[in-house]
Amino acid sequence: MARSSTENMITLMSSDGEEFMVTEKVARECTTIRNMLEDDCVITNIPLPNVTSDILSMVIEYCMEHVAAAEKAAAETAEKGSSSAPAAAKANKDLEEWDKAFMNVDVYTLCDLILAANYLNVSGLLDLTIQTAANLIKGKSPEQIRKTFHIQNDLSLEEEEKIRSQTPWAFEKSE
Amino acid sequence: MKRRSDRTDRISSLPDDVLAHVLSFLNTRDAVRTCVLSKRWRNTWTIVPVLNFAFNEFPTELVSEDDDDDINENIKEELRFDSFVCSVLDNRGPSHVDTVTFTGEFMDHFCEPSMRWFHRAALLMPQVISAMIPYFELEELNLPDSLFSCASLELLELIHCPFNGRAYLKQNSIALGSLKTLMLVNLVLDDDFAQKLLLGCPVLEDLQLFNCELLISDISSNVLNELILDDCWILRHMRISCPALVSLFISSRKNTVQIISLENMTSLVYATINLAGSDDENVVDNLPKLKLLSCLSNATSLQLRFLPLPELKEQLENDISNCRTFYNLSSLDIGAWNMVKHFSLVALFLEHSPVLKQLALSLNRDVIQEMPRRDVSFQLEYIETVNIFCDEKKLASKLVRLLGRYVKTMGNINVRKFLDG
Repeated sequence: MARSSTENMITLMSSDGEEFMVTEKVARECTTIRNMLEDDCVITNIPLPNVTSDILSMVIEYCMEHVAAAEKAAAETAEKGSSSAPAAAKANKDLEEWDKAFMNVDVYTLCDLILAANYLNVSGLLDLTIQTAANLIKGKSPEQIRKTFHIQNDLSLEEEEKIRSQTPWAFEKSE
Repeated sequence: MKRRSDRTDRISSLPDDVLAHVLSFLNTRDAVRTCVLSKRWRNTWTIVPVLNFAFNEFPTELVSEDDDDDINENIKEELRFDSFVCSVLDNRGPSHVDTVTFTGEFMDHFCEPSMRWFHRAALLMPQVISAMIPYFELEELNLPDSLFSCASLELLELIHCPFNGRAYLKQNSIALGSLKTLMLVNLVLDDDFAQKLLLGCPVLEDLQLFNCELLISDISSNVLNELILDDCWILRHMRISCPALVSLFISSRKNTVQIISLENMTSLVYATINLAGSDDENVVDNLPKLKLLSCLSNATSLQLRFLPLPELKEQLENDISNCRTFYNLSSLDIGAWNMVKHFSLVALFLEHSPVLKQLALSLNRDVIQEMPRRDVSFQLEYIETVNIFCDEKKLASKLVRLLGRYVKTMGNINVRKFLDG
């Protein structure tokens, strides 16, 4: 593993003015930032007006974990010539477990993470958060979904009935 | 820092495209049903770029006590699903669709609705179509031409329902200008199809055939990068000539090794060829001389599984020698081969593989044979790892001793019980 001593540090600034110092490698996990760095390589201070500090710290935590996992796998491959399949499978499983634990958040935070992952273009995190949100909707009744996400039903009973009667093919024989 | 109440509705304030992205991870039925959540959600489903039609979301309704009317029940179920698919396609917005999938085993008693869906799916110009093809009571399957001429398609997966064997896929014409990956499962494919396919898909990089019967005598392509023939019945001698091919995987349990000839495989890096076992019912006559290993000389990783019949031994030896040297071969895995009896073949590989690092040998339990008293004219310096899969310890240690004549130093030697038996 090439550990360059002159690893660039980048400062990311959240919407509420908090600063986070990260290595360039971690920052590059965000495609949006990677593109900025490629356009202007001397940039060291990046304001992120769309991301609050608590969410930004979570995004950074995710990126650091995934960079570390990738570095570890690369180091093992370099050492042994090729990584052994069981070890790689275990590392993958560990990372999956980590992701799963990382997704143990309330739905409000989850939605904020989706927005941040979308804005910063962290594809792994975007897939993870979107899949998590989708799983909360999958197979649930409208009432259950509203409850999960605290969605206020602003449709009157008549309006809801009308929508259902306009799309009978989606609602017939529910559950 | 507390900035909110935990009971705030955050998801409804996500932008349309992000909400559509969330819904694209769901079956379309679940996605459509979000339309009654609130006003915000009324039309969100209509812009979802992914349509996932899952037949198993429409289970048979137990309306009557009569169970002898199963067919009618099935037909009702099919009609309901058909009406759902058509309604979604009629009512969704004009926004772009990138993926359409049909899953679930569906019996198309009318031989028609599913053809209509495929046709309409292709007209949406998606990049990806992945479909279970329903089981028809027809021997020949002719999918809509629109599907096989969909210019936007990059990935096409067609999985024939395995209810009743395979269906013979016949297409009038194929013109898939953007198609990079094609996966076909449970179909019968012939020369006519293969020719149209390879001509009609100028950028096809990845061809994957699973559980297919192949009456294909030639697969020649300058762009194909990966070829998988897994669990296929190769019923005719097949020549594969793909100079850009990097990865080759062939697994066909019912063939002799001569059924495949490889030519012009100069880019090949990974090859797995599993042709173990012979099948008396499917004997193909007049097979040409073995031409397989001589094309693998650039490979770094080879996995070979076949049982050479005695008369093939000489052909194999010639074939290996024709290759001269496996300059890049670092990982070799040989199994289902009458190893000890034909150890000279393994020895030939060792002799021709100067950079070999990993060697795996799998032995059948019943092949304890005399060791050949062959003069050893070469010796490899070092092999990093030797894995031996064998149920009998004695046989394994015999093999290790034998290897010792050809290899000066072996790093790790692992003897394990059979895994793939």
